[in-house]
Amino acid sequence: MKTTKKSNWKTTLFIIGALTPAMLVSLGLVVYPMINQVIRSFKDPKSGAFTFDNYVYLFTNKLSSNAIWYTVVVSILTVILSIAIAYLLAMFLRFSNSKISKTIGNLYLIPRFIPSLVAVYAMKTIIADSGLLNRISLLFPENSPLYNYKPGMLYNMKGILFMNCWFNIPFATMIIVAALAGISESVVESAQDVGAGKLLIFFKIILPLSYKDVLIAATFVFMSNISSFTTPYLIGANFPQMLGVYLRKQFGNGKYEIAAATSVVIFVLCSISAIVYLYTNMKEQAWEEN
Amino acid sequence: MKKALLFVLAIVTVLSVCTTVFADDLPTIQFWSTGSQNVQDVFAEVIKAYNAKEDRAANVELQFVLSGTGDTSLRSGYISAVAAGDTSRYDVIAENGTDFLRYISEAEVNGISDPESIFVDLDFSKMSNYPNVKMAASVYPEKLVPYRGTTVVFDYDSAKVPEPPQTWDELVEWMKANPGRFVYNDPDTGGAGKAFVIAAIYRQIDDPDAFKNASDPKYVDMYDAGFEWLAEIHPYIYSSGGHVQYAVKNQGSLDLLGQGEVWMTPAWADGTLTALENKTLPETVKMYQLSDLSLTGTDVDMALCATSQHQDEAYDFMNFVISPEAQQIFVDVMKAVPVVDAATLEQTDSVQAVSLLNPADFNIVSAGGNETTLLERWAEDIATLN
Repeated sequence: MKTTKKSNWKTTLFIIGALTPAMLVSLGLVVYPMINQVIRSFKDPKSGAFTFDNYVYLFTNKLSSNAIWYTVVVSILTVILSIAIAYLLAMFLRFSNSKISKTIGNLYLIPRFIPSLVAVYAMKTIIADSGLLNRISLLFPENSPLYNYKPGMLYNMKGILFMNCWFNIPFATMIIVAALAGISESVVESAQDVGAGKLLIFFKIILPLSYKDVLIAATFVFMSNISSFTTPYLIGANFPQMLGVYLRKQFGNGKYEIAAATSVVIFVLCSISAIVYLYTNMKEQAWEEN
Repeated sequence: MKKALLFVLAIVTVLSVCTTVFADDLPTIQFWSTGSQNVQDVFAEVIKAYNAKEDRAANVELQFVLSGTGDTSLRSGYISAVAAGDTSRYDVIAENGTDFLRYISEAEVNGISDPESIFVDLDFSKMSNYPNVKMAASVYPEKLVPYRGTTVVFDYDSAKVPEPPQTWDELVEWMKANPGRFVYNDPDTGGAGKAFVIAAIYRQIDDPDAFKNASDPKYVDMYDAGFEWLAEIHPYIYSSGGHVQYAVKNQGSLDLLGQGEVWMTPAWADGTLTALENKTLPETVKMYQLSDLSLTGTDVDMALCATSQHQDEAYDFMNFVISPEAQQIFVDVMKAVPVVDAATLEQTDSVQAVSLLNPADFNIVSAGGNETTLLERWAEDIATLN
């Protein structure tokens, strides 16, 4: 009895010791600056007095209000597109045993290992109006409709969405594949035995067993895109800009209070998806208790 | 566990003994600069040359902040170091001449009592090479040592534009005749576009002193005509996917020129010469200025930080930077315009190429605090047009 007590005491100390560095780092480098930013966003740049002006400016100014809705729209569309494609891809990887499926299974994670800056520049050389696609089209006869094809994908939402899909599909696929791998073959087979069609199996078995992971993938994709910078900076339009690019511009011009308010808006948008994430996880625990 | 600890301890001791044995007694100078990659490359070379000198007064460390995303952090970092009395990190800062105005104004905003005192008034007699310097600092001549010059020029592809426009009015006609073949970069993302916008706006102000006193707040009310002109040329700028697009960063315009999408663009002379050497621009690309108004250039200077604990050693390093040896590196590595007479340097291809750019012709403009207004108004009035 005495020894267990002693080891308990030791374990507790060990846990505290192991957690302290992480706690200190997150308090010092995350929580403290965050609180600082929130306070600063309510300050008047000159007098330092409490004011809502920074937020009023943010939601009424043409540039910033457009940046907010544009960011939300781009992020939501990115989530829808990349999750839909990732889900189909994950199903193919999980339920097909063909060589193609195995090859894709080995290749699909490669984009995760390419630095984003390199990827964006590489994509630019392909989809630019004078890029690879255009050069190939110049090989067609001059009177064909494909001759001198200009993709027109750079510097607008199409380009950003395309690039975002490129980054996020592998990530979402990875999570969904893991979820689908947890669905045992025997469940699907027994459903097939009693005559269930493919659609029925999908809606009654596969989707219910994987939608939580899909939601988790979606929240992560949403969060990373709300604050993205490299892609919209390099292939986005001059206007509207995404919040990350707008934020940098405010910092560049020394508008630290506006920048702080912009950060808070980004934080709030991310929190919404964080709540979805937490809610999904809690629900799972409740289900497990039953 | 104990053994492992002992082992680590032993290694640490050995290492610390080693470093004390090999380190010399020279102090370390923290040299800060910002700019594009070529600036970092050139300072890496210059500092390597200095640190290899037998008679050096210090070891210099390069602290480089890439422009576009980090240049503001250098400014605010230094000012907060001054405010906090931190004397360990900043010895010398190199920036474009007019950018030093922003340091002083930001120091003032941050409540530093004597904002100009953040940089030391220099004793030029401590730099034996200074009498050879032919370029003058555009602002605070008592605090700044010019070490190179650079200017924005118009680049054009002579294969596509055999006879480029010669005046600003001809430029507008040319844009209208060749829609989509001209671009300047978003002025917030690089100096070339900013120089074009400043020239375009200030040339419309009916005051012969407008360029000289560009930072005077009274001019802000006179920007309308300039912005109208920028709005007028907006439909003829490069477009992609049906929308006008201003290039992002100085390199963005050079890329479009190199790919043949645009035929003419404002660009930094050094960037252009380097791109020509690296063959990322076709050989047919040439540089020139419009006859009625040059695009703006700048002196790039060093300033001695008030927080420096090694000022005499810093003088020695600055003296090296303006020596013929270091100036040669600036010209050869980044095609900078030297601050000493180019004739005194070894006549390499690079020296001959930059000899064509005479610093005396530079149109040095410092919009100072007006710059922020100008950039914001551009973002609201011009970027939103469609």
